[in-house]
Amino acid sequence: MANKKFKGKPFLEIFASSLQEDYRFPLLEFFAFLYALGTFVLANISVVPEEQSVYGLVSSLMGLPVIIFMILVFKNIAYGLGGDLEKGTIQTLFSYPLKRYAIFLAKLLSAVGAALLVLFGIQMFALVVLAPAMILPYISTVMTTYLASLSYPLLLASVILLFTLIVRKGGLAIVIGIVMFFAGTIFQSLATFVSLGIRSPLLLQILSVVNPSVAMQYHYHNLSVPAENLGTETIWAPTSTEVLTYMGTAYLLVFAVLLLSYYFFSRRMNL
Amino acid sequence: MKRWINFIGRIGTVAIAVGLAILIAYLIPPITMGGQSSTAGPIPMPSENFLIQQSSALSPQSGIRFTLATNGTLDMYGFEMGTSQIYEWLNSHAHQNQTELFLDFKDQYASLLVMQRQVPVGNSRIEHVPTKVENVTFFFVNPSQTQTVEFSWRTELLQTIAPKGNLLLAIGVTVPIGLILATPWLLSFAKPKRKQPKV
Repeated sequence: MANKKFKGKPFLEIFASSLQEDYRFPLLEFFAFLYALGTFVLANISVVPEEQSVYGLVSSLMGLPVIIFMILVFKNIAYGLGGDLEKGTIQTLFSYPLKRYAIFLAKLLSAVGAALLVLFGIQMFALVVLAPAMILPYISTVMTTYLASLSYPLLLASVILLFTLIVRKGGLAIVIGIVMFFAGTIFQSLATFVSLGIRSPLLLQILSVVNPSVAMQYHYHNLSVPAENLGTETIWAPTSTEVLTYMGTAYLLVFAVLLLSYYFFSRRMNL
Repeated sequence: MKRWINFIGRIGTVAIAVGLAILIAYLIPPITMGGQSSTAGPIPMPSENFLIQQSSALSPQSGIRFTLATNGTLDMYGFEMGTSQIYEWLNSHAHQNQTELFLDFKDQYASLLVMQRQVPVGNSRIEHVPTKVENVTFFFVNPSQTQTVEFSWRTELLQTIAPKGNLLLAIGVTVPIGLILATPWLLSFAKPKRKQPKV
């Protein structure tokens, strides 16, 4: 019992000091202010059937606020953990009576978990203030839209973490992350054009494995082109089960990259 | 203990930051859109005991403002249904007198009643910003069986950031809670630090 108490304290110690470093006053307050104001200013409620409208409202908040979220997470990983590796302060953490997975978890929870909690918590609160009668009955749609939209940023954050651990430098990792984010956006537009041209959703389906928000988008707004008989030809209209499958795959990918990062952190670092 | 004060204090400052953001959203005035502006009247009532005003679909960011002028008190109701559905129901019950007709309608569709206000004598403004997407039809009803009321109105669509009442409630919750949580942390800065004894 006494041993258990002893293990919990160092974990909290590392977690608290990481939080202190990652979110110095008034950085967290500034981000919270932007998330809250952004929710009201960027929210776009379209007059379409309720569920589509809720999806449209939540996805309208996934632009700028998610970029802000990614900047915060990239900074935490690349400069927080990267800085610890570069300066060698990680050695101090290894001197704590803790397994490496606990140190890794404390760092991850501080860098990504807390940022995610702030983004999600504040946006949910603001959404409930904005349109309670829309959000509360469709809470499952809200949650799935968030899960689908945040999987790609989380994948990028995991890749940056892995890269930071491999090269042990934060600056380069942050550049890689930003490039990957913009490449993903460009590839999505390109895949849509190609899919419309060849009338096949294959490219979009491949993209949905890493970014399920693409599948979710076409679940609510089918991808279609004008047909020869004056009607429309639906190219891709994924069902909700398909969207959930893509989402599951995307999070498995995130988990796999995180496991690989942990492997590097625990075994491959000669510290 | 100091760590907990820090942790709770930062939650408090975040709540204050959120409250300030909501305050800014609250202070942004609504934009009036002339798109659906219409005027009517003066209309003698009870020769027509109720009037129907169809609005376009409304949302938490798109409300409606009525500018009204009347020489008698009127009741105003908003039902979440389209005018065609209402006229269909009214036509099928046309044998009743108008007052009873409206009361029957109100009883039958009580679950769809989204707004109920009283229009005072003179000039007034009534705004309705819903909390979800709604297709609302408004009724102006003369509650008096004897007094004739003349009134006119104009409607304007309002583009808002969010319903003002909800924003005000959120400010009232976040800022005081934030202040309560942050005060011990902020006070800890005011305490004079103990001097290190010289060795």
